Amino acid sequence: MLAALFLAVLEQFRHDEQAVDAALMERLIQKDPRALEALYDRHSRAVYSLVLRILQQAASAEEVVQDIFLQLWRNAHQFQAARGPLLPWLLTMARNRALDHLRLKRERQRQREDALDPEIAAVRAPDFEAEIDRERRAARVRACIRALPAPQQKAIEMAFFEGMSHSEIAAALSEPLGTVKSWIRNGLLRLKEGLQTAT
Amino acid sequence: MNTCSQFAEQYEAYALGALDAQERATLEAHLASGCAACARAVEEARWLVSQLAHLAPEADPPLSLRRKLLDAVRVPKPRESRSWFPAWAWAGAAALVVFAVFSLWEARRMQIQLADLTARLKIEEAQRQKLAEEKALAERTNLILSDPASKLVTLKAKGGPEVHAFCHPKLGILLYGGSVPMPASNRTYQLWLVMKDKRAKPMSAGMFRPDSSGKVMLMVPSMPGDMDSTAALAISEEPDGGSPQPTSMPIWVGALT
Repeated sequence: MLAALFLAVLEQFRHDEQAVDAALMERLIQKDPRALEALYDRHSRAVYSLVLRILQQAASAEEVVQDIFLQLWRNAHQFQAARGPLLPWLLTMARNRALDHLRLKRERQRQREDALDPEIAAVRAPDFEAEIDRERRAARVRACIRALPAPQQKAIEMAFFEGMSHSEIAAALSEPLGTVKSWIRNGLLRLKEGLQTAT
Repeated sequence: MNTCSQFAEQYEAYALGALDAQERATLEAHLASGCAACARAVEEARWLVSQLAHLAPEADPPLSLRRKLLDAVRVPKPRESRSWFPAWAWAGAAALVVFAVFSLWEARRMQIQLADLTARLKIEEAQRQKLAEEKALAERTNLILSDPASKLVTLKAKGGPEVHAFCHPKLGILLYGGSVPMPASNRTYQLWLVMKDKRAKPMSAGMFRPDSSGKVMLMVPSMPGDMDSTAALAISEEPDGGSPQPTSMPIWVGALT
């Protein structure tokens, strides 16, 4: 009885988390600096961790993270709360920014000064997204990927954190292109299944 | 012709950015053609890929970054202060200024009107008072003229016009005449009661000057002395403002009989 009640409250809390982000984004559209402060406090750790992992340099990571939140401030209206929570959208944007920075694609960065990249504007969460909290999902992601054979894990990390293409990874690991493609696709499908079964 | 099934294995790799240029271009062309199913699949693949961020070792951003970010969005103080006074408030303030100027102008205009009305009222009041005085004078004149207790006194001058006076013991004296010469500008005529008692001094009954046509009209509201004790009326020329006692010989004299 008590456990059911606890789960119901937890469930409500998870949905509230998403509602809180959506409400903060509404306030951000109205240019309320306190909303940015709250969003930063909620998500800067995840964003900074990702960017720092990609760039491997604190100063650059700080620069990119600041840029991400400033872009969020300027272009809050581009976020579509109906498609899912804010954080995956923010992380997708942060990854692209960091990889751009890593590749020194200054020209592309300049083009993105005033608008969010439209190709990352659409991130859609699956139905099960709200049914597992962030900490549990993070643990599940780490467990799923670490369960993969080391080369497969490496291939996925090279693609995600270093922005390398199938061909670049195949060359770097001296593996056939088809193998690398399968590793990455199968690894991601395993991850998807792992997250689904975690709910 | 592309079919969705041929892209089914590429959604995750596309979201990851791992497709080679040719593959990416082909899938993007298909997405651009408006395939909703593939677009949705790509959007969901992006969510899945974003979960890989949890593989990054957790690290706290430095506090200075938070401060820098918040300073960056709070710097435009004028914009903030302006937001406390939005456009509609400026419009309201402008309307108030216009109203205040109009009110001041209106108040000034009304003040001028009020001053004008006050002045006119004073003139009319003076006229009304003058008319009232004239009416009172006419009534008293009528009373004096019609009352049998009144005595007519004719004051004569040597080689000059006569002046007449009706004396009433209670209603006073009515003096009138015509063709009376104008005294010098600093001089005035003064009417005196000459008493029967020769030791008594003359009593002043009032001062007057003829109008431009030489007409004289003086109303003395009450007798300054007992009419029965009065022997005559006399008029002398005195300095402007009158004298307590005559300073010159009388020009007109008339006995009260």
